[in-house]
Amino acid sequence: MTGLPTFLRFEVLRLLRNVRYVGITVGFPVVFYVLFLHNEHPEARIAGTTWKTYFMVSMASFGAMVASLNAGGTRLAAERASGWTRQLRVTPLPSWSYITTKIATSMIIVLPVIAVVELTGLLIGGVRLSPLTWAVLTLVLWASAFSFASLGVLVGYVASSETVYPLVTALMFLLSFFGGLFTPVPDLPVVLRHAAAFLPSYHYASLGWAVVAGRAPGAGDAGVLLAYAVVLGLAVTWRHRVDESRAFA
Amino acid sequence: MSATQAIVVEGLSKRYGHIEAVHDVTFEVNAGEIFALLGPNGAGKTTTIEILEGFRERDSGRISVLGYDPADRRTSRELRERLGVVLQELAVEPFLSVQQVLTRHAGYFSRPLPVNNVLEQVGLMDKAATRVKRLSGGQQRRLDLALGIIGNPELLILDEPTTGFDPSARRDAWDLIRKLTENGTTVLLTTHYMDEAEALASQVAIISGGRIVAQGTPESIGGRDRGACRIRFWLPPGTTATDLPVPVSEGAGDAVEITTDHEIEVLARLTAWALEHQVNVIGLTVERLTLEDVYLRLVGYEAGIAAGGET
Repeated sequence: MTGLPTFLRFEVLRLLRNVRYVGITVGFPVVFYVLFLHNEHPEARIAGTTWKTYFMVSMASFGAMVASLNAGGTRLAAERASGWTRQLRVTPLPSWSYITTKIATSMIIVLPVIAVVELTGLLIGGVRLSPLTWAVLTLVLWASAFSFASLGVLVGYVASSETVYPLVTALMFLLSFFGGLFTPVPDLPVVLRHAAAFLPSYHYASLGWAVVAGRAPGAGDAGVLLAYAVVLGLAVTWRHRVDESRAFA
Repeated sequence: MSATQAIVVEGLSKRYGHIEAVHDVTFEVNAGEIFALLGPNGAGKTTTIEILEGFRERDSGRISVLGYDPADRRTSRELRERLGVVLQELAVEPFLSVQQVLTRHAGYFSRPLPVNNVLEQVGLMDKAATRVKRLSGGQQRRLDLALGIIGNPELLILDEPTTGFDPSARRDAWDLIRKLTENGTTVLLTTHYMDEAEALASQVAIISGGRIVAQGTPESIGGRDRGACRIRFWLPPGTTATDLPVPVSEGAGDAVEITTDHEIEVLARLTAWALEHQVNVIGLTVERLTLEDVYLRLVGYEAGIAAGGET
């Protein structure tokens, strides 16, 4: 375990130094929130809450997703391509700690992204929630971001350094648009409405939408996310094994 | 296996599909020495050291690295605590400083050297706060070496440590590697530069086409100490190479070259023939083979096999 804390510290540090990364993960959801806040009337009722509150949850979910996909996927694919993972394998650092650190880094980065979007909702959108609701919302969104952290790491293992950007971008758009993060699911074309039920992004945001509407987060949503986390976790373990045993002739 | 041997390799073989990357390789590295694995690209150098690092599995053979079998996963952690590895190409870390990269790497080991000592040793003290991507090529390779030694290894493995260096950077790297061994660290390095093996190593193994073709000290390898000589002269006017009493190794026009381990005998027959036929052997020179001659003689005819690709 000796290597873990140092490793984690520098992983987070180097991610924060990447201006482009911070700009995209924090900037995109904040800018989109401000831009699309007035697409509807901010006070319009939707799913038991107001549009300004509903859309803040959507953008926090979007931000958490983008942060995870980039923290895991883009970094990992680049590190595999550059031979960094190769170098790590000849150090005493246990190989599983490489993955756990990537997931932990992702989780650490996601928290401030969610907080910044919430702050934008509070200050610019005029969102008003009880302190308890703010706390529960943050906790729920943060804890369930684990599925995206695993997805990010899996993308990093599957993609090469050249294909990772298009893949992350495609996933980002697919998950956010079809998951109802930009246009609420009931307003989507009928085919897409059914597709949303299969996407983790929809279920992830649904947990948050329930919290701000004063409802308990749906067990079904949590179940789907958990199933995603388990399947993705197994896939990551499998890809990691393949990557380790691969002989590049 | 005794404590004086850092590495023992016996009958090591490794295939990739139908390509035999390494075949029946045997060598030993004594503790505290610099051992060079010399060979052309694709000879099997990298495959061999990757197996020693435990990065790649072998098909057959017996291996001991610091007393451990590198393929044994139960002890791989212990082995890696005592092993330093510098790869051919290291990742350039764009967002961290030299000191941060070293501190991070030190964190992987349980008994690392102090970061500042290592910076001092590789001469990067004044670059400690510099971002790695701003280092020059030579400085980045110094950092690579620093990463290799930060864990305080007993054995340091260097894969082509000076490939791509300019001549003065190579001298600096050599001095640095020699300095590292002063405290007893064993060094195994691969190289395709003869002068590098000659300048650094106390033992050299020449590998070609996946096989060890010669082994020994740089002074004795390939028979350099027992006679292996090159005799050169011009054919006497009016004679042809077939008239000579000794077999010719190489001839172009009137120039004749004979490579032999028995130079006294060859010279005796040659001079006796010259006296008997009353001809003059012009420009007669006798010289000992250089390491380069030995190397080219040994790997040259195997070049076809070696074309299997760098692995």
